[in-house]
Amino acid sequence: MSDSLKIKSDPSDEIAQTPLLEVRGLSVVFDTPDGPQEVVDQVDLKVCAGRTLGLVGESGSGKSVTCLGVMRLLDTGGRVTSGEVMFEGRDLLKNTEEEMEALRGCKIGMVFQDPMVSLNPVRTIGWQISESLRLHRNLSKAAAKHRTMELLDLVGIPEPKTRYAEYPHQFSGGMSQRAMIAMAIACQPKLLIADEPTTALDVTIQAQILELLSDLKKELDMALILITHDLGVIAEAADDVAVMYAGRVVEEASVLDLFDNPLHHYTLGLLNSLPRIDRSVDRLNAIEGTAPPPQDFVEGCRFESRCGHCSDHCYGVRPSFNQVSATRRVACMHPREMT
Amino acid sequence: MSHQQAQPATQTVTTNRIKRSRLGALLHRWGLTGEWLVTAALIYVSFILFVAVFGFLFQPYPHTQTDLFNQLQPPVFMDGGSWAHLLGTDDLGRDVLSRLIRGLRLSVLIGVIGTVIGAILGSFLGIVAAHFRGWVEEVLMMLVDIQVSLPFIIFALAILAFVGNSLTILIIVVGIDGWERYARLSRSMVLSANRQDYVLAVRSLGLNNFKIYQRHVLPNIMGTLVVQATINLPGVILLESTLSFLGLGVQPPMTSLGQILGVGRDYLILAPWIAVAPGLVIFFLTLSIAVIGDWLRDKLDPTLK
Amino acid sequence: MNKSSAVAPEILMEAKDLVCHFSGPKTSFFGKRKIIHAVNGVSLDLYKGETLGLVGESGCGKSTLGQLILNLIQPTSGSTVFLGQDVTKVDKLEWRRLRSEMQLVFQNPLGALNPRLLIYKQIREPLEIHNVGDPDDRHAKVMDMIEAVSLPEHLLERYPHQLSGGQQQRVVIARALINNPKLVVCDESVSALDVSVQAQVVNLLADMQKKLGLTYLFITHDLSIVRHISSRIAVMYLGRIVELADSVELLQNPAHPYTKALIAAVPVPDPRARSSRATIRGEPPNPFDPPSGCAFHARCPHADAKCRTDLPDFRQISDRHMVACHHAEKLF
Repeated sequence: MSDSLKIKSDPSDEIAQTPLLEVRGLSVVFDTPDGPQEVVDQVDLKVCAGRTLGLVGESGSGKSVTCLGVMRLLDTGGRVTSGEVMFEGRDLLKNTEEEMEALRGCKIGMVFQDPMVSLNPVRTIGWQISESLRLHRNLSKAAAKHRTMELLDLVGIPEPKTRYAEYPHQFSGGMSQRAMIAMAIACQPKLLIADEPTTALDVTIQAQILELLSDLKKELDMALILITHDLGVIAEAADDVAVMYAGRVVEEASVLDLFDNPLHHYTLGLLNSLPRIDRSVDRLNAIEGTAPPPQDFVEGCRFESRCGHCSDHCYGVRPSFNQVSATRRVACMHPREMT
Repeated sequence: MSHQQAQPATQTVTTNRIKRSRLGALLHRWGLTGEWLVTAALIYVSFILFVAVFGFLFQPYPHTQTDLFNQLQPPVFMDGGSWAHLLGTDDLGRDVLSRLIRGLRLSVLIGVIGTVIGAILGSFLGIVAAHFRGWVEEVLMMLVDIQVSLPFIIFALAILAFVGNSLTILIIVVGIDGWERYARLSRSMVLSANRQDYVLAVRSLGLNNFKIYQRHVLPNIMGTLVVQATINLPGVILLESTLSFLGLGVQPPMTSLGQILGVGRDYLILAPWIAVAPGLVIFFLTLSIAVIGDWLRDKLDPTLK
Repeated sequence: MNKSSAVAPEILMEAKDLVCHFSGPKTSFFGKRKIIHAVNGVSLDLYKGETLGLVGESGCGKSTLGQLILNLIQPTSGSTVFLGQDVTKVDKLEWRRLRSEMQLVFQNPLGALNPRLLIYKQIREPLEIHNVGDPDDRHAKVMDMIEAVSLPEHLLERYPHQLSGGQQQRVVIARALINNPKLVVCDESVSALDVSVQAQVVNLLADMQKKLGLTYLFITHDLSIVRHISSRIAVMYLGRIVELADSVELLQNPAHPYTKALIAAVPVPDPRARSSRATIRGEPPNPFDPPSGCAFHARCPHADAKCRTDLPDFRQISDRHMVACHHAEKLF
């Protein structure tokens, strides 16, 4: 097996590294007509250079909002209320807006879910990619064009010369996503945040894009945050995983540990409820109930109402993290046993 | 195909924000809920309607009665005014208040009926265009384009000048104005509604086309059409005023707000109250209806509850 | 769910050589409209009580095929025979009656519900349309149905947007099943749902099938779900069915290179299985400009001259296993 080659899971290696991006206690509140709602509650995340952090959760778990908060891209009504986001020794939350603009698309690239709406329909693909080069790198027009061709080639878009002058509607979904990725890596960012990059794509294209992301990560020595709801994608592409539920991180582990031995009952429930192409079951083990919406978030364990292992301890008090090993922790009063 | 996962947390927040009307957002920013304004608008409009219907009972003088000894008398709160003529008199010594009450009646009548004609005609043609598509749609939309590119005043003047002038024709003419807005709006809304899965769903349940429109499509686009009507109603009243002002609308001895305004124009310096009184009535009426329309749109949308 | 079909399966629905063309947008004012061959000669049998999974990527025509089978759109040519009756040739009245026999469950439940109608009225609507029973009967039926789909009663007086995605899909299912249809087409019915809720709805569909003896055509892009829910699987590519076999057979012994690629591309929730993938290159061809010969030849690692010119027949290669590939025997 080439596992050991593809998945760096040596913990000693991990400890030695200082994280490239560290999020501590990040909370995000949205103002709604019904009052403020805390959508993200004290989230900690850590991404080391050269690694992929998979951020997995169901819709409404706050995984996308967390990353928008990190990038300070929350739209009006949403605001970060506490926490710090350390990137290369600086707290992004203390940066000025100008400093953030210089950082976005330069040191930190972003790729979004729907490439078709993330591209400007009235500008050519080439223009849009070279824009960030002209903006951040002060390249001349010709140099930017030259570099853009290289980028298109790098992300696997055939015939870069003709594709350069084409418009987004002439691109298929997969090709648009490649173009988005080219745009995001144009300035060789240290960190790439990909928010559901393959959700809108077909499976065969999804496989191509995941492969591309992992190749680019190696080639450009980036760190990658991969936000997804799909545990299959996580198993495929992530090195470390943080599982989010109802605005909180409930479990952190390396990808092998998480799938071998999930400690949080929610993680296990998610894994069990997946239909799998590699095995047959008579009936799916669904988790009963639904995740609470933000207005119903409680201080205590938020999974309690759907959990079969809860006790009186689960009410009222936020479950603190159990540091199981250097790379593993779980926020549960009654975590599963390590096997 | 989009099998994407929505993000309800952010989504509900943003949709709520987008769906709140512009005026509502403005009021919100001013720290007002908008309720008092709506209340005031409702009271004002009810008052106007009441006056339009029952005003003749309180009318101090017949609106045509002249009093040549009391020409251009200022209203009571100005120097030289008297309680005999609360809002003063015009150049023929007619009581402005009486004429206002009488004129209001006709203006509101023309405005409401005209709006209803335009709304029904336009919406119907829009739905027809969206339902049949093809050449029907192309012809109807071409008519819309013609209507848009034509200065309507000139069109209306032409009709009134050639066909002659009666109250019925005037109402029809002001009714025709604005049909193209309903047609465009209802066409695009029906087109997008027909692409919605719930229309396909009820079709697959076996509902016939007429019932689909009646039970499902119309209720969903009604709110917007009603709001469009409230936006249009002041325009219709203004159009009637304009035509009357130009002398091709309501003919004496009948009177409307526009006609009073037209007479007042000649005495704007000498006796401003003649024009100001109907002007203010029209202004506040227009504003109130717009405020109510805005509020109605939010009220009629259950997804905002 | 029964994975092996009954001994002598009875045919519920038979699609014969269905073709459906749409005209695309005009390229210029005087230009000819381009024709898109959404469904291009599909023949398919549906057996009573089975679940047939229809798999394919976006744009392959699987949703169109679903609507053709329900007779919601008229085919350009071909016919669908439902219980011995050619439903493409029925009159309006009969067509409406057939609506209670076959139903559709959508991908996006919120879009499939009228935003301005109370849940109760929406579930009751099919009964009103077909004049089933008296008002009391109808009420009783709605109550039975919401219990069957585990929908809490207090939700009946709400609007669709006030429900969660899973609850909305239960409403759509309740509405589709309340007239006891025989055939239900599920078009990506669980794709938009969260994993944990998706499992609930899949289980619900399976329960309802057992209870009511339903036949499902389960359209999806997700092979993992199809494996779980279907007894047979049909794979569609650019308007044609390229492979059809029993679920386990198809997933374990795929004969068509596209099926193989599709299976390989499905992410397995097991990080140890990572290294074993082979991704195919390229993207599905433009349906306005379909390639000659086998539509898959441009992406196929086994394509030769014959594949570029000749359209492969859809033929049987083993018992209950049909495939449209020139090299199927070699690859099988």
